[in-house]
This record gives sequence, structure tokens and C-alpha cells, in this order.
Amino acid sequence: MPRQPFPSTLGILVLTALLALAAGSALAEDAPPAGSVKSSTGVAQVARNKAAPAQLKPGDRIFEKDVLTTDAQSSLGLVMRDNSVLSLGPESRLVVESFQFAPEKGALASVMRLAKGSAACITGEIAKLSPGTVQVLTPTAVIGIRGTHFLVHAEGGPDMEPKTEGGR
Amino acid sequence: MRTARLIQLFLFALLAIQMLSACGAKTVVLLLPDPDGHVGSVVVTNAQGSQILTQAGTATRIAPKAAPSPPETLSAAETEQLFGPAQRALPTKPVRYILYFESDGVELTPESKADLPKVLATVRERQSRDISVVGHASKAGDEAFNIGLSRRRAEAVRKILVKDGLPTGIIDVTSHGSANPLVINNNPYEPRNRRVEITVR
Repeated sequence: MPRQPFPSTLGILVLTALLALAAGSALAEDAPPAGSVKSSTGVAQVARNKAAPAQLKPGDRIFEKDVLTTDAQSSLGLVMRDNSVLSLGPESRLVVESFQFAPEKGALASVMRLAKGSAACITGEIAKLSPGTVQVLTPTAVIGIRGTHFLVHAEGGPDMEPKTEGGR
Repeated sequence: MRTARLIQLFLFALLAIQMLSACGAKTVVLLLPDPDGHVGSVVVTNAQGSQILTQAGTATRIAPKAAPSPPETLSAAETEQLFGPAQRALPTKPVRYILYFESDGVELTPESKADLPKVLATVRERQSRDISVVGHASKAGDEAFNIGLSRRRAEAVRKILVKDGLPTGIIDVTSHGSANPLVINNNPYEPRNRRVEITVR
């Protein structure tokens, strides 16, 4: 045999690793959206994958781990995949910590972190199918939602701001 | 002057709000009735305790290192100050349509064909930029075939919507085979399970 077995094995390993990486990034891109923007006023932005914050407009899709922020006199309205509706008032920061809506696989979860500001919400299918899995976290409380229409206001204390604030 | 007094009052209110917030980070949770009148419940918990809200219009306050306060009713002014803008930004609930199909194919029933203009009217009315089209099949036959059939049904509806002028990019198409029946009974040919569900967000 003209070829050494070892380098070819190494080559396959490298190729496999590259393919796995490619598949990984493809998977991340193909992750289904958690919801979409229905309305926005003023400065309403998303920070995703360490990219610079981008202005949100109606129709933009929202994904798990997105950090959503509004400035003064701004607001944001969202419709999530389980048909819950959610909105942010001014000077708010919401992190989509976890959002799973695949009833056929039994994957149901919705955890949002309101780091500061105000939010209104009417829960949807996830709360109906799996009432224990819908939560809103704030700097001082864990809110378990058994349904359905509620409002939350959170003051972001000086030591309660997430580390991403200003940390470029 | 009346305006001068108003400004004075406003400044005083601002000061009061600032003094209140100086007390430290605080959370307020308020429970409201659903659009249909039903009232749910929320459980608010931290390391110091727990409080459940079950009455519409009641709220609990959670200061750091203190248990959530007993349920209380907030003044209209405080409710507006804390939640007014968020409440006004809350979208209305999405609208769902179910279209039914003739057996074993992608042909809509005449009744469902007649529903298509309503779907399009809702899309325009809501100025929707997010529409889900989910295909389903009844239990009859082989599941591999049903998965394909449910996908073809969803695809057929997507094509109709695009032909009627909706941008492709706003429509998400998925299919579930026979895994999510609308009606659960002993009839594998249940016509109400041969369907596509359209959610207009």
C-alpha cells in the first residue's frame, strides 16, 4: 500500500471534526425560533451571539438566549411559538433563558429573566400543557406561572445587573 | 398658576418615586383576568418565602432579603406607573384556522376552500409577518406515508397562501404525521384529523 495508515486515520479524524463543527453551526442556525416581534416603538434591540445590539422590527424572529432591551419611551411586543404574548415597557431587559415548544417530543419549557423594567404576559400552550415549566425570573424572585395574564415590574439593583451590561 | 402647581406636583411625584427606588431592587407582580374572563394563578418565591396570587387585580411586592408581601390591590396610579406602557404594548392573541382535507390527498374540502379568504383577511388585518402552517394526517395507513402526506398538505396550503400574495419568508411550514390528532377516538379515518392548522401571529 502506498499510503501510511496513520496519516489517513488522522485525516479522517480532522475531517470528522470539521464536519461536526459544520453540523453544529448548521444546527444552531436551524434552531426553531422562540417567537417573533409583533410591534416595536422607539429603541428596542436584540443582542444575539455576542453581536452588537440590533434594532428589532415587526416580523423579526426571536431565539432562545436572545437578550432583548428597550430604551426610555420604547416598547416591544412579542408573539411566542406557543402563542403566548409578551411585551416590554421602557428601560427593560429580558433574557430568553429557555424556550422549548415541541409537544410531540415532550419538550416544553419557558423561562424568561426580567433583569429590569416591566413586562406583560398572557401565557399560551406551554402553560396549558405543562403548567410547572413556565417561569419568569427577576433579581429578587422566581415567578411560577400557572396561567395566564400577569404583569411584572423589576427594579434592576446596582449589583443585580447582568455582567453583559457594558461588558464588550 | 395651575400649570405651575401641576409641575410642582409632578416634581414631587418624581422625587417620591426616586426615594422609593433608593430602598433597593424590588419586584412587583400583578395578576389580571384573561381576555376570556378566566383567572389563573402565579406563585412568587424567593429564599425567604412564597406567595400565591389567585385573585384578579391583586399584587405582591418582593424586596431583597424579604418574603413576598401578602396580596394587595395597587392604586390605579401605581399600576399605570409600573405597568401602563408594557400593558399597551401587549399584542392581541394570534388567530388560528383549521383547514380540512379530502381523504388520502392534498385536496381541501369545499368548506375549507371557502375559509381561505378569511385567513388572508386576518393576515392583512393583523399585518402579520409570522404565520405557521402545520400539516397533520389521520391514523389510517402507514406512518411513514402519513408523515409525507401531512408535509404535502402543509406545502399545498403554503403554495396557496403564496399564490394569494403572501411573502414566502413569513410562512413557517412544519408537519406532524398523525402524531398530534385533533380528535382522539377509535376511528383511524377521523376526517377532523386530516387537516392543516394555520396560526396567524
